[in-house]
Amino acid sequence: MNVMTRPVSEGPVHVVVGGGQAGAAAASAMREAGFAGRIVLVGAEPHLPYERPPLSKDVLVKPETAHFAIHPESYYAEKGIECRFGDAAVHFDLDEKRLELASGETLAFDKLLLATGARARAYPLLDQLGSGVYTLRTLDDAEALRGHIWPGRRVLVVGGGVIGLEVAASAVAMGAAVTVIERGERLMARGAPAPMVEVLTALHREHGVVFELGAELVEATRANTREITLKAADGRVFTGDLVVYGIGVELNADLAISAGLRVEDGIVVDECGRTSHPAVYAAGDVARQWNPAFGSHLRFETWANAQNQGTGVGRSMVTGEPCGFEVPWYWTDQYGHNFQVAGAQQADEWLRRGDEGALKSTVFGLKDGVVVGAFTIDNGREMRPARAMIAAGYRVGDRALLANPRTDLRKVADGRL
Amino acid sequence: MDKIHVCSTADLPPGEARRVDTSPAVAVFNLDGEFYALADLCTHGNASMAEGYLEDDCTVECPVHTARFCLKTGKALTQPATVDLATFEVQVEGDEIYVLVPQGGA
Repeated sequence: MNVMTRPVSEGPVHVVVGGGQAGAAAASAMREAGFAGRIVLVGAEPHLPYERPPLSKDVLVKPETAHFAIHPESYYAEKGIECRFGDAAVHFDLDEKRLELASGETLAFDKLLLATGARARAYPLLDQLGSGVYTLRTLDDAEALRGHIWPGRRVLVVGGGVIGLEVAASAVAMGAAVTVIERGERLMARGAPAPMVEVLTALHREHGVVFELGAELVEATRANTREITLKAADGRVFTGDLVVYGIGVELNADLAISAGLRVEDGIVVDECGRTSHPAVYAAGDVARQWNPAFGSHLRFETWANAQNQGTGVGRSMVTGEPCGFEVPWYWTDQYGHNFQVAGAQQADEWLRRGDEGALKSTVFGLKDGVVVGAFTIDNGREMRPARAMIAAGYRVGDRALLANPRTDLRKVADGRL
Repeated sequence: MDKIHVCSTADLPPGEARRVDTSPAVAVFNLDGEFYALADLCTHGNASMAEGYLEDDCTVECPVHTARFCLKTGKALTQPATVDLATFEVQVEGDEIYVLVPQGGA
């Protein structure tokens, strides 16, 4: 890699720990906001900052055309962002304001941003099988997995969350026979509206995916034939050629904890992204930020949050202005269909807008007649007005008007209809 | 350049877009009576910009991952896209809309 490692400017130093979406967005935002000092971007992985969403999809299914680098290599030099990729932060000293890297280098900073993200939560029961067991969090994970899925392979996916379902859809596209094993009684229990989960479940079943819900694994063994057998507490037995598991994440908050920063399921930060120490900030998956709209500290594990919070906190570190806040939003792409979710994922009722029997639709979550959440299926152009309606607390008057896919939702959202 | 018929102006009202199946496909937009044409395939992912969300500030937002592009220049304005979209010239003759695409594109 031909990225710049020399100091290019003098003056104050901002060090960003974490070369993912949030870290890269923050470094860019600092420059955009007019910061003229040194910016040093430290990433433990030996890659240019990349987007994670393609890892479970294009990087597996069509690697030759997969696009995942956030910026080309030349970008970092153009913006005067010094890079330390493949070098991990191991310790920082708040009194001295110095960060130590695994390579032995010490970086003095005026402000530090922790965008250290998260890692795949380990599943020791499965890990002890050794080879044939995969997780999916990093580019290296995706590339390691890719070569082990081919037509006829029996893939056991453990964990029915977004990652598990996206891997299932990709494995099907690669010709594999897929079983999804989930401990809970429903899929995507942590983060999707129930009616969307119904659609997704039906879609997977149409593609031949077998779901095993309520399956608490108690035993994992490998035969001489390399076949893997998993046993559930209720006696069910699942066999396959490989296992991919996605059971959530563990936060990379160790640096913050050992520095004595306030950490409660995430590094706790204010509206500007500042931690309990005024020179240290946090953003992305690892940060739990005060959100005035919700009146609480919230943490999100989404691309949009990493991008927007990274940008907002990077800017705040320069201007001192609070971050802007948007309605929480994410997408998932499965079997060529695009699902987008915004706002609350629980509602009293769901109001569907779309043609009878068609997958393409927008569905509003209502509480006491007010739009609190929404999801779209292959109908992303309506997500922008839907988010505006959530943000404004839109009260539904004419239900038939809203449910009619022929009415222009932009006009409904801004009060013209 | 090949001159490809898009549709009549009555079939592309303000705020709407239309995909033209050239190779590669082109998206033609009507923003308050002004017509613009961009490559239809988002530079970030597999999405049709003709399905995108037109904004009053002369931009279009990708319907799949919300990258925004300038209608006039094709410039990628927000992530996840970082690569610009190609632009094409639109001609209106009477009530008919045409787009000019490189030869062989039809």
